[in-house]
Amino acid sequence: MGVLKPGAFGLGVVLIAACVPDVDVDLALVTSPRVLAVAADPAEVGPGEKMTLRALYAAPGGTLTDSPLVWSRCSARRPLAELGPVSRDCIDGGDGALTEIGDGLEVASQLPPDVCRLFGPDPPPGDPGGPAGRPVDPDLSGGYYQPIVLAGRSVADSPTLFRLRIACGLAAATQEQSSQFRRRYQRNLAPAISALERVSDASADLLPPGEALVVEAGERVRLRARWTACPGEPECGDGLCTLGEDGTACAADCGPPGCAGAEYYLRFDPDELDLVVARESLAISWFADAGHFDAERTGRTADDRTNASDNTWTAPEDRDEATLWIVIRDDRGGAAWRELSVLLSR
Amino acid sequence: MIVVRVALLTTLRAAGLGLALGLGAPAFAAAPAPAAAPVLTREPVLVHFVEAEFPASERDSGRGAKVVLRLEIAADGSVRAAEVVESAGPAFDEAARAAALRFVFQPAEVDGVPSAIRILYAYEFRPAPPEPPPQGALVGKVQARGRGTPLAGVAVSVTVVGADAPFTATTDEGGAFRIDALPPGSATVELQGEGFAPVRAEEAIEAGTELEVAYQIQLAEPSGPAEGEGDDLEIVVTAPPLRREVVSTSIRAAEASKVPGTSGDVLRVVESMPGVARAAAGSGQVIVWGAAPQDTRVYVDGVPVPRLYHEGGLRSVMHPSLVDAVELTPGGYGAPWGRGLGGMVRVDAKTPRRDRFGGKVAADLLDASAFVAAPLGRRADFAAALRVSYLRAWATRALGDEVAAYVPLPGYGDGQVRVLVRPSSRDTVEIVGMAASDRFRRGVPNPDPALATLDRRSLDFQRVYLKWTRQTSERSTLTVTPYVGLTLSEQATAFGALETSLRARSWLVGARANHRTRVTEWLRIDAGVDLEVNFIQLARRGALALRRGRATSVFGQPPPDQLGADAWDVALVGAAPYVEAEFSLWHGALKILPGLRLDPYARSVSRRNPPSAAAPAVGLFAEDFTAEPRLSIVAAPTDRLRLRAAAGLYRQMPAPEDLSATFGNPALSTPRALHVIAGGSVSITDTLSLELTGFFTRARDLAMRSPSAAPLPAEALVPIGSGRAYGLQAQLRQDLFKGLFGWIAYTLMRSERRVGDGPWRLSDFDQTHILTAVLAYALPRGFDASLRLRYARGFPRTPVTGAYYDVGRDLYQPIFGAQNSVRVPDFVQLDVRASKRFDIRRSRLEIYLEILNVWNRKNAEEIVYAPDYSARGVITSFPILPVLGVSWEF
Repeated sequence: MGVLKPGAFGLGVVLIAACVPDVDVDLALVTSPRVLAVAADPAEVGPGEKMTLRALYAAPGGTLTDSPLVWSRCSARRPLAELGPVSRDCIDGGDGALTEIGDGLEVASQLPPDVCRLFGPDPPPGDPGGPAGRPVDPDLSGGYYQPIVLAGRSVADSPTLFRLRIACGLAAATQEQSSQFRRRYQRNLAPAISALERVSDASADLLPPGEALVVEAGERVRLRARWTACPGEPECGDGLCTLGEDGTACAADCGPPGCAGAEYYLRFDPDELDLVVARESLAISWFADAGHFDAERTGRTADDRTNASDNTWTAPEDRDEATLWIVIRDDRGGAAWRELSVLLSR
Repeated sequence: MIVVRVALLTTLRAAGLGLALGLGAPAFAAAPAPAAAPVLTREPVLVHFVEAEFPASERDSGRGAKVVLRLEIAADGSVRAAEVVESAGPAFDEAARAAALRFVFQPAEVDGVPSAIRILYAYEFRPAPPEPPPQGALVGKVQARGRGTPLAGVAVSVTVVGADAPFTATTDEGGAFRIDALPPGSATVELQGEGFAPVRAEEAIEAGTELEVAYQIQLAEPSGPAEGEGDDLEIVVTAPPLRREVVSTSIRAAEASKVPGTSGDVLRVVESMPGVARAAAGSGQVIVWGAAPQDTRVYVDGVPVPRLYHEGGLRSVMHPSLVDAVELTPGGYGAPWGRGLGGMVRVDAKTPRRDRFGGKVAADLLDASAFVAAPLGRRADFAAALRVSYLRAWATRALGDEVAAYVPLPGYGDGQVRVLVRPSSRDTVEIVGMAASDRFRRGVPNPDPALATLDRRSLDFQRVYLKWTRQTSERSTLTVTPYVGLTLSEQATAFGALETSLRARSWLVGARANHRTRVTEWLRIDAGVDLEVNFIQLARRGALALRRGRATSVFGQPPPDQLGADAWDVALVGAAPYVEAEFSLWHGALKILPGLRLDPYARSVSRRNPPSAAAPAVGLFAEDFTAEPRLSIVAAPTDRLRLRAAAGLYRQMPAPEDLSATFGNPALSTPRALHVIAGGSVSITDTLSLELTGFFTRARDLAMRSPSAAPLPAEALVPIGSGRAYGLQAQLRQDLFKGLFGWIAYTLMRSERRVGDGPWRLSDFDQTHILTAVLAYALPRGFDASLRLRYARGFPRTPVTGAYYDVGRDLYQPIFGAQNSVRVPDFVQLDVRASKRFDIRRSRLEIYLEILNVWNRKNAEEIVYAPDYSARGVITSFPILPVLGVSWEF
């Protein structure tokens, strides 16, 4: 018997005394070229604004610096009858749903001006003379997203979906709430791994970027990813442009916005129909081209103030070197990564 | 009926001669005449009598009357005039005159010549004598339980409420008895004979009908309790209940509890009935003829309840000791029932009648239960039952908190209280309270909190009702069942911080009234009203796709991360008057049951626009009216052949959770369905029958998720779905005979859905082949043995043909193939059951052992996928599973 991971959710009472088949796979193990993460700069983009998209494209042996990836912007709304995050047409490439925006590991593009009507809170046009349609529902962080599809040149390559957070207004809010939201909301700043450490019972050794980690074959290595501690309360002069601060209220902080950790942000709660302050949760995805992680993902909830997350990697027995990738993601679609080369001694 | 008695008084006068002749009835009396006068040589003789109509105005007075007429009879014998001599009132006078003027006489003869004559004629009206009260009959057999041997010489005594003395008979050599001329009403049948203690059963005698029963008596074992110390619970009534539906399966509680897999829980036998799909283990769903589970309604004593089984499907919501019979009608039911597109499960509950305090306690691995019953004086009885589960408590201890967190372990309980009062010989009143509670919680932890999952469900419901039955006359019965109920439900699933939840608080108020009248020997009419009012408060949060079937999904797929929220109130009011007639022609060889149900329906929804801080809620009121004709025909061309057909229109109110402006559509129209059924049955022997039924159902206006990429607000669901199901159902059934009963049922069917004018596809609940075989045998010395074999085609599922990586959520998302184009592998399972009763003085101990999945077959329950959808497997059901239980009845 095996254990299903995310897919096991919703099994319900069918599991009474039942057995689950072993269909588990190690998602942390990179066995073929695949996209591990996509980062947008800026991480949150308004209609008509420009951005740069960069992919972490990994393969056994290390990060690929050249890729056959083709980037396309999706322009098809997802019908309510489809359960996935994006219209099936954007995955199949059917019905003119995709517009190519570039290829390679990094592309620069611009959002269409009507993106908030297509994928945001602005109601889409209805039939001529009829009422407007239903706006898209926001996600848990109150955000809306432009789907971007990354596909290989080969039809055998399975596509990758990246959802770029778009800066739109609010649906179902009063004018005052919308105004307050525009004034106080700070666009997302992608999180970053501020430090990577090798942890033992006695100490934590910093692993500087670019330096290889040397471990013995088969050794269990405890790793810790750290990120910036963001302030709970905005404080002008802390160097961070955070919730409620802007160029007028705190010019000293609000040059580059945000905090590259678990940020506080403003969102519209569809339940309360009011603006609420939320804090990001952060997730760490661990990848390796050899060996085995205890957990494929770790993370911290929004109410957990710890600014680090640990995982243990078991080095392979039969390799001389390995590559690890540690990807950090926040609730609002921001992502960043670190690569760690490992030399294995026997 | 008017009976008119006639007497003649005559005064004879030869025309112009002044002769008068008086005759006594019916003879004529002559008056003295002068010697030279003409001589009456022949008296007039009435040769054509006309019966006077009893005046309608006097019919209700109940009085009789006598009108004396003077008739002038012509020489040809006709009556030329009729004059009232003695009046009894204008109505009687006129009726008598009108009749007399149409009399024809053999004319009188005077001196040998036909002559005119006048006579006095007394016309007497007598009121119609009261008809003898219509009576019923009880015909039956008494047999030794488990052996099937007839019991001769058993004294059968029938005490009918209101009758002066009991009616008695004695069984003949074949164990048969017959008692005629029974007044209608509730009757207590008492059997006395050698080798067993007196036993009793309750029966309902109906005027003009012959109630056929069979009693199985447990004889005292040689090593068992001494005579007179037997248990009065030993009687098993195997009479088939009144069957009015064209296709239905009804099983008495005593038989149902012997079916393997039920663990003595009577209502779980529904899973083994013909036409019922084999639902996923632990789902507790009742899927009938491919209809969605929510389309099949469940009634207890005519009161709707939200579910038949507790969470997990391990137990029903009623204690088996309070169940009299359970009937499943897959479709084509009569006008008294409605508001469902699919089938119907009716549970007939009972308040056991006892002459002393008694009860039953039982326990097994899942739960413990207790039942008590006692008389409350001469005119009332009391019964109560309680059940509490402890599966979760011991399993958590045994498995540890961590494992128990993964394994879904339901906690449940239920209770019922019943009081039966007989305030008069014509009335019975049952006051009932029932409640059930379910709790289910399971969580799957994960190092990444965003992947930790939690599944939480609860459902509590209570019902209080009163069932009043009054014998309004010898030929009619009135049943009124007002009820009130509360249902609280919650289902929530959390995927990290992403929670989808639905909470509902529902008040139910209703009443069902039915007046049954046997108008004539060949016509019976049921007329009544089915009132149901629901007030529901709902709150929902999360993604749109909470319910299966509305969007293509794969089992275990994480919910979408787009959120909506809504809180709304719904009031649903339905008051459906109905009438159904039963024409019984040619002594019951042909029965035609036309019916009509009028279903006016009103709906109020507190919000027709999605929630917005910028706009107030605008309510919606909608009403609808439909006439739902129903027709059933049952023909019995021979004693052993019975042909049946039925057709009808059905309707179902939209589910309150579908009336959300965010998640559904407050303006959803009412889905409708047509059922057409035809079939027949052959009685191979008195207890063995073969039944074949073909069926076709068609539903339209089903709510479906909008296929539009830009639907209008408050139109997430649109009524563009259609459904159809058709198939053939066969059942070979052996009613209890020499301790043996069982059935083999096979259903070949197809259930399909489509959106708009799109192509038909399989529905989520299609099971093409369903085979169920149940065989139970009562062995000597208190042993019972039974087995159940089930085969079912797997439910359709939508295959995953590929996947893509959702890099933002670090999840793989499935790419689906054609909807419902693959199936869960077929299901085959054999279960066996053995039990032993120990009679201990005035009580009984029963121990049973059920072994489920005897073959230890790895039956597939569901298709699951690897997290990246690169591999597919199936969840298998439980391996061979022994279940041990014990009960003590006192």
